[in-house]
Amino acid sequence: MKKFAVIGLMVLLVFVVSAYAVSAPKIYFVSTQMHPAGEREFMVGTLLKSFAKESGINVEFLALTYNEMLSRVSAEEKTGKVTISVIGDLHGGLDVMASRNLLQEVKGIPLPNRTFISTLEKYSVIKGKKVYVPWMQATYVMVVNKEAYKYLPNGLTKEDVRKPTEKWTYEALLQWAKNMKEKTGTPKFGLPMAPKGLFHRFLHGYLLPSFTGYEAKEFDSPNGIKAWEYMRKLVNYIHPASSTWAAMSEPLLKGEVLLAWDHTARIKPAIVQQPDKFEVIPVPRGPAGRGYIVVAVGLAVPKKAPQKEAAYKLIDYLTRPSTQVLVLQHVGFFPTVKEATGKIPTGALRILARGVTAQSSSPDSVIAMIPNLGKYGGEFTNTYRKVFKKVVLQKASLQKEVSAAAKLLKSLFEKAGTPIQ
Amino acid sequence: MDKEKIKSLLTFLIAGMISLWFLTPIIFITLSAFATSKDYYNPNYIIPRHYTFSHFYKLFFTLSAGHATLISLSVAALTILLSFLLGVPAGYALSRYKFKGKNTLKLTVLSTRMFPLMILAIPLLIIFMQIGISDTLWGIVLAHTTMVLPFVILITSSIFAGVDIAFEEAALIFGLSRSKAFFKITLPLALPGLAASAIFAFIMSWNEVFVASILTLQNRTLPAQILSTAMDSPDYYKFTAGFIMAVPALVFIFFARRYLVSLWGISLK
Repeated sequence: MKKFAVIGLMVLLVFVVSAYAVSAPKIYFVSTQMHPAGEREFMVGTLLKSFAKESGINVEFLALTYNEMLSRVSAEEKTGKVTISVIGDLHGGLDVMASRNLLQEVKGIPLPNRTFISTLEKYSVIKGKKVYVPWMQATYVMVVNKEAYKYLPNGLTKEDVRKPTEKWTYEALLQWAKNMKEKTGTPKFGLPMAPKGLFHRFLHGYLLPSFTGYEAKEFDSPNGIKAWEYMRKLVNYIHPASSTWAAMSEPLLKGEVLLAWDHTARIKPAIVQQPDKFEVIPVPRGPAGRGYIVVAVGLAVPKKAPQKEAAYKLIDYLTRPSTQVLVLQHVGFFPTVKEATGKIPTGALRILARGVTAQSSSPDSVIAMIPNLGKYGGEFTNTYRKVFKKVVLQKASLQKEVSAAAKLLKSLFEKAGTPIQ
Repeated sequence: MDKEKIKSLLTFLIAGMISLWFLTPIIFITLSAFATSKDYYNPNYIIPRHYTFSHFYKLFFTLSAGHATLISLSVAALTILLSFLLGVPAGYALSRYKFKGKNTLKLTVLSTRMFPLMILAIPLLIIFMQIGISDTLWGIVLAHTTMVLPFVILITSSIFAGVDIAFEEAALIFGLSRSKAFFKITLPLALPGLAASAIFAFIMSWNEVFVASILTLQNRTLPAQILSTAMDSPDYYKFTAGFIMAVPALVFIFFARRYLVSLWGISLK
């Protein structure tokens, strides 16, 4: 009889929960950003709470991975039963959704008292259509454990690196990484090379623009070849466990590496955890300048979204200068409106903001944007990883691989109908 | 005598090592889940010295993992209930009766597992939306039942095959009806195997992320609610999420274990 009691209890539990699970009406905001526990808590507990207080609109914030989000949004569009009102995602993801005609144009939403940074504004218009409202921006920088300054190569000072000056070059990085390996016995420079890491961004947005001035346009050129020859040398001083790291904050905190490159959101935990130990520095420069990526995160509205007015109000709230400063202060994503830029937060994130500001205000900047390739975006990034694997790790013929990859890249841009950059 | 002693010592040693093998990760998950972040990253000690409930509180209350746990539990319970209601009779029929196309049927049952859920997800979601169960408990339960059912059918059919038909026949001779013979004789004998397939069904439903994530917005199951957050958070949050995910499953298995003599019903006789 005990069995039946257990089954009875289970059934009771189910009914209690189903009664409890019936929900109050609100708008749904799905996002691939602000997932980490601390950030999500800030979003739900601070931002959306104060928005609800101000507007009377309750927002359910849902953390979905990109695949889940795309499946959900596509299915909703197909059935016409759209429940999601606002989407927060990276530029690249929104680009794909726009190419599948899932998003409505977001022109003419009332967004008073703010001026969006012009590059981001321009970037959010894809094929003549305003796809999203720029929400936040981020970039990739380097983090140095202060201990690593002991191993700086001759002629390069801390100030050169922090500022950054012309002396902070990829050659200097090579020498620095070499010194660290020789003096500590193990490589101390790390890159997030795991499949989920963002190493491909380093290749197409940092290395190649620094050597050639472009991400793909000058791929097959003398300087392009030099970039890969450089990687062949650098790889000897990269920590071998790099191929298992998706984010660099953990190896930095555990002291496995003293110098690393990664996305600001992925190194932030290290800085917040031990602000006295780390410094954020700009990336080095190459023969063509200091190449780096600016990542845009946007807010979009699905076609046929319910409660559009409420969605617009949420977009207005999230892009307001005061909200953007709060986000920088707590999360470390940078503002997209001019009124909020240049504000340096207090606390640990000050370190992050300083490094990023130094990078973005360096006069030799070569800004790279992740290209709008729609569904070809994955193939684009894969190409860089493949070349790295073949040329650097498997020592295949450099010129042959580079020429083949350059052709492929060109065809991807052509197929996507985007000018090569 | 000596030989006996060595034998029992060896048994203890091996059993101890196996337990250690399984318990060490659980112990480490628990310790790291409640360690302060400072201690967690301190390379000087393996076992943290200071503990905190703050990670747990954030995930469980602020980010509603608690609510999601309840939903996950009810989804798993309903999945077991539904898949047993459908799967046990099917398994019984497959093991007791000879009929045309039996083997084909067995294979067809498995064929639903040929397609990854990823591919089925969007059509499934579209159908669910059209019939209006896309954001409900029952929607996830149906999806999970579909996923679990083939296993329940196959496992229970081999369990019933292990229960000697002579017992049932004897019961019929002594005057029990067909259904009574099943409930009084066959079912109790098959209980260990059924417990095993219940555990199996529970774990499959409990761990499923993708379908649960896209089918629901409001009533999200535990992995849908916190998995992506945990994976993007610092390591100690991953352990906290792991702890929240593991404990209810362990408790369930602990209770179901009493009925579990052996999977596949081998030791029934």
